Amino acid sequence: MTAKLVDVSLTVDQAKIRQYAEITDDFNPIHLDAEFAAGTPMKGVIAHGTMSMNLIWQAITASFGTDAAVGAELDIRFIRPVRLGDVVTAGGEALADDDGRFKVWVRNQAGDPVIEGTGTIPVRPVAGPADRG
Amino acid sequence: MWTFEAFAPVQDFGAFDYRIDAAAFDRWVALYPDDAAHRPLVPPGMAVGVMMRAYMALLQPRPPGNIHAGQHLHINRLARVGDTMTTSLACVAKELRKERRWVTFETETRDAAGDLLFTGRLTSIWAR
Repeated sequence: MTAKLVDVSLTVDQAKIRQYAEITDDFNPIHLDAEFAAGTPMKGVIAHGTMSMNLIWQAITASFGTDAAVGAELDIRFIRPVRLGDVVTAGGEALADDDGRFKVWVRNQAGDPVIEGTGTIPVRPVAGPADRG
Repeated sequence: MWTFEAFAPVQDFGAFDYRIDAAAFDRWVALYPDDAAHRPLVPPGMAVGVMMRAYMALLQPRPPGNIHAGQHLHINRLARVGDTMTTSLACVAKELRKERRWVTFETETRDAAGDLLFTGRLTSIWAR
């Protein structure tokens, strides 16, 4: 079993946030209207949480192939906003005591977590030399 | 307006259909080029996007400034590009905690044959 997920990164800008808004039909002004967003507790424009969350799915499929998502489970919290100009990177590492379970995250360029949680990935262990008969 | 006070869990918000056509897939891949490898299947993150689209469509109007705080997802099967996905939405809990209005929704997305594609649980901090 792969112990670490392949890192996947995205640089966030207003054009990408607008693209994501159009794909999801989520035009919440906290993502798109700087003046409105400045007056909220977020104090500025933030990216859609699921926009960064997709990087975790990409890290899973980059690590195990596109079939790995079938049967997979993610349970995550959005713990810090992603702002314009941020470079966010998804990754993960296997939890030692639980086959197929990973601690997963997305971190910003400062290394601060923006998403944290767990993923359960139904991948079969790759057979080692001793297993091949 | 769906304010915090208006929610009465468990509360059904109905279902929303969305067909992922090739143009929608291409828009997704323009943002996430690596997801092109999933074709002809819909990438899991795009399936989440369909769930969010259903949430936006079924829960109208909402106060501006709600914050998506948490998400649970279980992928049962990936749809194919061209499939119509039907997502049902229900409010299953609400709670006022530390002056924040927490609202929890559950979603279930199925294909045109009624087969389960994925389930979701979405936690939001409601603006008002």
